[in-house]
Amino acid sequence: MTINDLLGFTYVFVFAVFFLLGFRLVKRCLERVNIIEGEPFRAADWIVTAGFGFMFGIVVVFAVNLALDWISPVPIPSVAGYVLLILLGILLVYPVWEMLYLAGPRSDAVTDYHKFLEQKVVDKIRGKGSIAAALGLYALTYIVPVIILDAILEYSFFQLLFVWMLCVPLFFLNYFAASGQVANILKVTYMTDLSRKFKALQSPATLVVNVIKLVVVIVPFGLSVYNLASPVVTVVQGSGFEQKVGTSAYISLFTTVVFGIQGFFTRFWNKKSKTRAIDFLFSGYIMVAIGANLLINFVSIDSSIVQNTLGITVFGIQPLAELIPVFSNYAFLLPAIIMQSAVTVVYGVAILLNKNSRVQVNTRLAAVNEAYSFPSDKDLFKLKKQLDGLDKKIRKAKGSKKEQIEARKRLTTIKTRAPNIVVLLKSLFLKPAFDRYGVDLNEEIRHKAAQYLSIMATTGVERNRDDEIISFLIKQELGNTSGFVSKEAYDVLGIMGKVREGVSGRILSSLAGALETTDLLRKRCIMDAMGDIGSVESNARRIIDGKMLDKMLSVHDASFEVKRAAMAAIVEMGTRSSGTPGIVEQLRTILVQARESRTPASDYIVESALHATRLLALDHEAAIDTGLIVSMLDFHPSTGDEDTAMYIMNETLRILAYLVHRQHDAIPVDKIVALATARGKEHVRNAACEVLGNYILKRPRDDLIAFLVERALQDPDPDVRDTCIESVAEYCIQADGTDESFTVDGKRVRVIDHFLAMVRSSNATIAERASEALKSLAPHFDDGILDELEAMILQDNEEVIRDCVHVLPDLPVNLRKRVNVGMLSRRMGEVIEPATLTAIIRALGFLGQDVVVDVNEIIKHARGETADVRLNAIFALGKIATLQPGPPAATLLGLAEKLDTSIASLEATVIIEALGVAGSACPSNEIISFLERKLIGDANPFLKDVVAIALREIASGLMRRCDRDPAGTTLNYRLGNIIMIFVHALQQKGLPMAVIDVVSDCIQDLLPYFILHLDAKVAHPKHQFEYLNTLQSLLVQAYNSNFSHEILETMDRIASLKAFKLFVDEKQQDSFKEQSRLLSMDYTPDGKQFYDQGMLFSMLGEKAYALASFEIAVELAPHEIYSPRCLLEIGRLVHETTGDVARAMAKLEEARKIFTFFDDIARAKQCEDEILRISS
Amino acid sequence: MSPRHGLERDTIARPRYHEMNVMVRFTLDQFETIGTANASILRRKASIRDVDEFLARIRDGRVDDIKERVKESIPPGTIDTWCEIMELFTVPKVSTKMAEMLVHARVNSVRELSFKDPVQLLYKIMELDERSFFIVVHEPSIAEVEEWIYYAKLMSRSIKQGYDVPLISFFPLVTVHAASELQRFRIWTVEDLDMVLKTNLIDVRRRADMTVDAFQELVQLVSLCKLDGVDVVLARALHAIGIKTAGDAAGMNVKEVRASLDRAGLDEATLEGIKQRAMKATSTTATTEAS
Repeated sequence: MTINDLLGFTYVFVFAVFFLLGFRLVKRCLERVNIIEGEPFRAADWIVTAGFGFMFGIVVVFAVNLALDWISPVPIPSVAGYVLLILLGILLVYPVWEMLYLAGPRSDAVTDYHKFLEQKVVDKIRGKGSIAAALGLYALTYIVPVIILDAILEYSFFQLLFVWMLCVPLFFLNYFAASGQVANILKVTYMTDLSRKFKALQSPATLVVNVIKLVVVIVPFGLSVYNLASPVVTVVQGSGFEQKVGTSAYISLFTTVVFGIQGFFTRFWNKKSKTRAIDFLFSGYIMVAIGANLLINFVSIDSSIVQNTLGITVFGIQPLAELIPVFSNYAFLLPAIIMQSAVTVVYGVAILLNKNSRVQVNTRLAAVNEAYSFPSDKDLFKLKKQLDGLDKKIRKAKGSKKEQIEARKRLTTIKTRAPNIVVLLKSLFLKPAFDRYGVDLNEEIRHKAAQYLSIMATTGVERNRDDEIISFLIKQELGNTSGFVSKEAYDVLGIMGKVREGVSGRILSSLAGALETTDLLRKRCIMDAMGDIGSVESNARRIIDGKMLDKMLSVHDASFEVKRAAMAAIVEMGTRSSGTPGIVEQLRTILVQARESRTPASDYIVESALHATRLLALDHEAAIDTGLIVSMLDFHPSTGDEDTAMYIMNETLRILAYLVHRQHDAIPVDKIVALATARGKEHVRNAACEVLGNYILKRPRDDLIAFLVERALQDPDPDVRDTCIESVAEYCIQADGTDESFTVDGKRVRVIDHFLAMVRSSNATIAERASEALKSLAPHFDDGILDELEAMILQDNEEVIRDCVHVLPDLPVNLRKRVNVGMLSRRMGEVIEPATLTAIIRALGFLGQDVVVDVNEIIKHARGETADVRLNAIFALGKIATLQPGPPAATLLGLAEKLDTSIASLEATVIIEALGVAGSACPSNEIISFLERKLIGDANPFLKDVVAIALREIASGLMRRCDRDPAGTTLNYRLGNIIMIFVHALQQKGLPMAVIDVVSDCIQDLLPYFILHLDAKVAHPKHQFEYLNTLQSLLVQAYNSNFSHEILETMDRIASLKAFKLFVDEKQQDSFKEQSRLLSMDYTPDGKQFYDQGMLFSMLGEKAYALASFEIAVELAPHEIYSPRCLLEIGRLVHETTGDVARAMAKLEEARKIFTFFDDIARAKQCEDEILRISS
Repeated sequence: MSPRHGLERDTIARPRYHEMNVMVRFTLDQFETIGTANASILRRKASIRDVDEFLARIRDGRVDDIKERVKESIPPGTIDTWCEIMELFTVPKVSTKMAEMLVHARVNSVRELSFKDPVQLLYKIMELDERSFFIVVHEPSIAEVEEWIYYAKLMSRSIKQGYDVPLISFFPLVTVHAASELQRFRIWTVEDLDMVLKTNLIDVRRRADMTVDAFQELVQLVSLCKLDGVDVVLARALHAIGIKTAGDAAGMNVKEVRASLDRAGLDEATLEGIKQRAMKATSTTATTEAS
């Protein structure tokens, strides 16, 4: 074998290896998308993959050839020239293609420069004009500079064009190189703090390692500075270029190629998911830039390379020969090398000096994320493996098993890498860094650090360093009396004091000590921390006995906010540690003292103490002094301020409205009745009627029912009338058809009959108020009510028609299906007022979900002139399309296509929402494609949240559909496609944060489905989260593209779901199960997410998962609006799945109690019915 | 925003938009119920460009004038609804969308909001989401609704306690735009502002997009409001007659001030009390600074 053969083989081998490497890189990217979308690998994917592999391969062959040429003392056969020809072709074609790509409807630019051109120029010109604009920009970027240079310099146009085409990608490459270097410097300087403040927290060895790290990251940047400054000095000193060029080229090879590759991967490849051809072609373009860089540097080092490379002959001509003079001229080469270092230095200095730049902030955030290794599903698997190993040992042990059993007991926590306490503590005290929109960029970093420190405290990681951490926090915060206050530091102290029994005393005494001297803001933060610490019973006792809150609530203290914070602390202590006696007594003492003080400040304390008492009433009902509360009905504020008096009265009545369910005998009914008729005090009347309404639920009294019925018709205030009607309706629900009558003029009359009679009253006002009352009452009566309502709809009083029509959709299903929709459609043409027409259309919309309605008239109104009628018609068409998809959906799509979505309007919102509703039941390619275009394309950013919600609705519909009929769909879109639409949306630039939040939420809402229906199909446990892991990796890239806290939250949500699944699937009650449960909560400490997840699992029939979700939701948020619904579901599910009647009933009783507290009597009744059903 | 504070109309300065650098203003088309077309009508026919200008008209009792100017395009009832939305939008932490939802949930004013039960209000909002074409993109938590109600109470009550005054109460000196800029920095009340001014972390004036004079006036009013017994109305009245800071109040002639202020219920004893507290406050400040 000759040397030529060997070299030939080497080139082929190198090409093959790197072709496969590039091929694999792209294939992995595209495969990830295919996993999410559930699509096979398509022909287009193969072409793109092979294209990138080819570019990658030839660039490496080019580099190897140049290197060998430089190393070899004798001339060797060269392929670099031929490769250069191909690279030149790419350099000429790619920029044109890229510019034309910008003219497309999607937002697709890959570099900031192109993004700027797209947003500022191309997007503003629509249609074919945008193509012309793109070509104009191409000429401006690539041709005009060459023409100008041609006029100035002595080189030919071709020579200059080649050089310019080579320089443009070099700019991008050097930008990436600068990013790589600067990111390293920023990260290491942030993670290695050598200041005295942190010295005590680090070992001497760590300090030495930190110094070495600092040197390693600073040297490359120093070399770039040297490379920039040295030639200038050399030239000034009068020395020649030749030697200088060689040195600079060596340095440039290191600083631009090595860090260019690093920067390329960190700043481009890992930023934004790579799914489109342009991403990979641009990557190939950068590879070409690396080749160009190598060419310039090697040519500068060894001039013989010029002849070998550029002197090639193709079909008898030397196409690159004209470039030989250019590359032989050191006066040209040196500036080219210096230019590269200049880009690195200028960009680097700009970033290093801007402390609040996104790059710096993101680096700090990355450092915090790295500082604590958050346990993952992999760590859980390790724990599981250890536990299984110990189980085996226990089984196999012949003698005593005590040792192994003990070892198993000790294995309670997940072992992770030791956290970097310095970075976490340092991050906790980062001062706000506001951007130009007023966003504190460091807030996210402080939150993350606080979250990690809190989790460390909860899980017991680094327990031996508790004292160090607490000392540091106390010294930094409480020892400081001015400047920035880190609220997050107090949050950490609060959590540590709560979960670490050994240190809570120390923290509490430090906080209490600081209360005497510190400023108002810190006092507020201390109160907050005390609330957390006091949520543990023993700590609450200590706080109460130590009179730590008393001083803050003293009437002499001027700060309103501190008092508010102190009250909030009391409420938090009370609601979290419901077993703690003394909290309500403490509140009682405060209330009594404030009542006696009679100063303006004490009035406020009375009001807020009553408010706090009301919030605690749910958990401490028995401890509340009802007599004291009743006595507050006679309280008059010292200032005589009418509003304060009303607020106090309102709070008092609201407490009584809850207490009346258990202590009805203690309620002064006559006094409440008097208040219910107090003139000019509608809010007091309202609250008083609520008390009476709840009273009759416990002790039905004919006179009180009559009173409420009378107020429902006579009170001048609509809210009071509403409350009375609600109260009467609740009474009817409670009576459940047994006896809902009362006495009027000596006769017994059913409540509904009385109101129906009143609707026919000659007094129009009374008739209208009675019909208004029917809205709440009628749905609870099914015998004959429909006929009555339909008869009244045929009358002339349009107010009455509106009210009666309003009731129809609320009727039970059996009645709804019997509604005479033909009559309603006829009435549309007969009524006069637009409001009545609107009411009928709206009702037909809701009824259209159950019965077939005539859509022609509604379609006509959807294109009408009157805005309210039109909007309601569109809304109704969305509902009707769920049963009759044909013409309504087509009309909606027609309206949507005509919309000018560059403007955010209510009309656009309603149409998009209606499309979502229609698509949720009957998804179509047209609807999804329209919504996709609007979400990814150039629709008004403030419309995109509604578009995302519409797509989520369709995705939810698809879940139900897939469940029923996984194969029988003709849709081009699957659930995965919708997820990918959301991922693409997240990566768009210029989206308002609020919209990113909504898109992230939409992804989160859909995730639970995938964990059961896609990942569950993978048999091997190692790959059981393949789908979620893939999605997580795409989200990492999305986050790097659009730094949004919400994207991080979605990533956490994925980790939470994985842990959640492991928790539910594990049958054995051991530390693995417990750690999985804790981890699922740590990653997503949001009860609402678990509630939504539970509802989704319920819908999918996954009872075990639903039950666990609801249980965690209640644990995280025991008193939120959804909490009683969770308890209701838990009760039902426990009974269904385990048959544990006692537990089910306890949960239902808990739910009933909270519903009652929320004054949601209908649902409380539902709980009672469930309890009855289960007990029987 | 309650018209009960009759004194305010006489003592407040008109907004000076032309003197300000226009940053991100809340435009009317950000309200779904107004939309781009109606916002354009309001701009062309009634010269109302943004929320602050709309609120200024309400404040000046010139709603009828708006109705008259746009009567051919927009019904008077709709203007009334928008007025209610604008008023609710001044409550700290209430978004444009939520201000609209609140009005549709029959909360017609800040005072009305202050009396609401958070859970019941949340139920109503959720019902609206289910039963109408209004979409709740972000469902508020009970704590969030509690907070709106808390601020609504602060804005409604006529008696001041502590430093509880929301900065929007100084409208139009503090515009909705300025207030919303400041709330990004967690500044909602006099107390919050005082805290931030003390820590000197941000250039509040520039962030609030206020002129030097307007900001100075605000700082002086804040200084007066910190005195127990001085509310926004009284602070403005004192400011108008030259008592601009707590130091001025410490040295005021009670009889002269009483004569200059035509305020029912404001007797010499009250003014004397304020003077004493001002003297105490200024001496404490001097001691702190000296130490």
